[in-house]
Amino acid sequence: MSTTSKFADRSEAKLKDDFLRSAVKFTADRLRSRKVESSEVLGDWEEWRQRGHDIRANVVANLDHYLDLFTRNAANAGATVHFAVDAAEASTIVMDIVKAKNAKLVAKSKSMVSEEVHINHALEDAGVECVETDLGEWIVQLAHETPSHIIIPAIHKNKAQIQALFQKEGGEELAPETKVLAQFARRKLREKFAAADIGMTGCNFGIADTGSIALFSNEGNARMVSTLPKTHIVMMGMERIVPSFADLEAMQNLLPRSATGQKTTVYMSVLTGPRRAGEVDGAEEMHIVILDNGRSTALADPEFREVLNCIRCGACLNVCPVYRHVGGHAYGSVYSGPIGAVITPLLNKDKASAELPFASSLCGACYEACPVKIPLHDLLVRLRRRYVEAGYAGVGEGIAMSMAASTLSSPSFYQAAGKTARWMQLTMHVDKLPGPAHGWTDHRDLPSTPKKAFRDLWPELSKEAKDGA
Amino acid sequence: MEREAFLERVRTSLGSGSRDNGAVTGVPDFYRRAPLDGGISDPVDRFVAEFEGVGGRVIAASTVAEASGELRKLLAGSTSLMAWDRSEFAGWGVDWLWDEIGAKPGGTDLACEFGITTVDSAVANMGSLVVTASTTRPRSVSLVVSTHIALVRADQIVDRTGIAMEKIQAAGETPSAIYFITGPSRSADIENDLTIGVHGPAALIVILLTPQTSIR
Repeated sequence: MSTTSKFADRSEAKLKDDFLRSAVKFTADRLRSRKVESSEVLGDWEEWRQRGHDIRANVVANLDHYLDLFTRNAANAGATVHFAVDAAEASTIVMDIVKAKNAKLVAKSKSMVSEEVHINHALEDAGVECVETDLGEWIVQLAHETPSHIIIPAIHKNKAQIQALFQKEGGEELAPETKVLAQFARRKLREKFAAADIGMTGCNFGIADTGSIALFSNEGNARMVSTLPKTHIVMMGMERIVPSFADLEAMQNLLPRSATGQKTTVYMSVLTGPRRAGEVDGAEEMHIVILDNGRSTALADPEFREVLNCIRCGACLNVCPVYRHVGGHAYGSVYSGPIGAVITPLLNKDKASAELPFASSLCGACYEACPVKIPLHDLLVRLRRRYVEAGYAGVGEGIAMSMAASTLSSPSFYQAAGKTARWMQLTMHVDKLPGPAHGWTDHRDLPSTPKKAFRDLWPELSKEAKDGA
Repeated sequence: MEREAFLERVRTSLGSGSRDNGAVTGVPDFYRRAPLDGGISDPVDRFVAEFEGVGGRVIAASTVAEASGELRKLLAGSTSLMAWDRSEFAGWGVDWLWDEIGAKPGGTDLACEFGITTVDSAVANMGSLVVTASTTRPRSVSLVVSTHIALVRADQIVDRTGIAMEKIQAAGETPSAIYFITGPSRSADIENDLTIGVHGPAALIVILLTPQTSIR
């Protein structure tokens, strides 16, 4: 947890930020409806989800085997593989590479693991410039803030704010137009790509058979930072493996659709070791830092092991009535939304993280949206139960009451809860019936009757909170 | 932490429970059997539709000479140009790229206008180009330029990603880099407003050598 203020305080502050709330809602709606459209075109989405689940569950259940295979093959391909038991060790490993290379500038593409490790702070403390090159992440970095959405990090910033940030950075006048601002970013960040000593990326999937790492990106910055700087550091959670290229194909069909509704991202890069003899470009060294940081605790816990199946698509955020209302910052952690509410307390054993599982309506929309079928609502209940058993009960009640206050003071919350969660499930269910399928777009503006409204769930929620007290 | 100690921690965490999860591999069977379902069923037409759907442009040519002529037209006299090694263009009749224009072999010229490549394959149902890295195929040519032009033969189009991967693996050692490129670089990070060409090429053009005449 990067902040000590409570979810309730943070969410109240966020609820007052009208731009944020409408931006989060707009973005979540857009991503969600595109996901539904693109997954319907694919055909039998349920079978795809089951396949996604089976592939990931097999990897996690045999993680020792696949990690052994992956790291052996990556090393054979010429990569240097490092193992970090926690964030501090990962940070030390990276800083040792930085020192050995006498690096002055690190150019990063999006990596949740690097945020988990707080590597930007470590680099800054050591006087090393560290630039986020994903457009949204760069905006957030220039504003000295943290991402509010896993896929669209700067949804809380409007054009005028971005214009102001870029003008300050570049010392030049810029029109508040998307194209102008994006061109400025292209120009400025090219200087960084060219000058960077080290490029840092995350890793969407490691492929055990070949020791390759796969990166999905739309802007091309992951390709830039793994091609132009001499050294490439890959930050990877230890569970992010698939057995083979065939499984990567399955993930290619699941991840981008679930994240943004695209059939695939613009770039899917599969890198196997660094530049080889005689090749004229590409990083000369590839370092893969594999991070545990609490994952083995989740692995050892049969009730929570499934959370490691996550492929970090963000689909659960877009359908979550709570996330949609308060945005990512209210969670005060690297991972937000339903997956963040489960994973954060598993990775951080502090009391502040313990309140996150209570910030949920338990409507189950997150499970329906998950492309690898993680039963997030069940995991949230299990976490709550454990906290109650451990005497953290007061936390839950506090959150529950603040949720009640938000609900009562905001009629739109009824809509959020009803429209997102139940409506989506109903729509998807209905579309599976035989007969001519009605296009999603024909119906998206129609009012709907939720199967079970948030207010109907409330008595259960409040009872649960009281029982815990 | 040492490798063995790290793996041992994972082993211990897993415990001695059942490891059999009925492991399955790859995409569902119905997709493997009919990857072009849900759209145009002719692979070449499908590729063109998908590729243009993500913002790419396809120029059809029925002969190599025509393809070469279309490439000249696209370059419009520009000499700001990088290309894969000449040996990668065997049969395309484009030696003029080096002999007349002096195409550069990739590298760090981030202001370069055009990058010319061929492809390993192209994926019909996603509209992707598949390019690999090698001593004769620099990564930067499809990356740092403003416009990436790829020369593609219709018989290089495969139905789905998995077939493209199988072809690469069947050819021998896994290349150091395999890129699936599906449209020009894009971002929606500013107020969800789609913008093209943030870091990668802003324009992606295929010159498609095909005997079919249904494509323009």
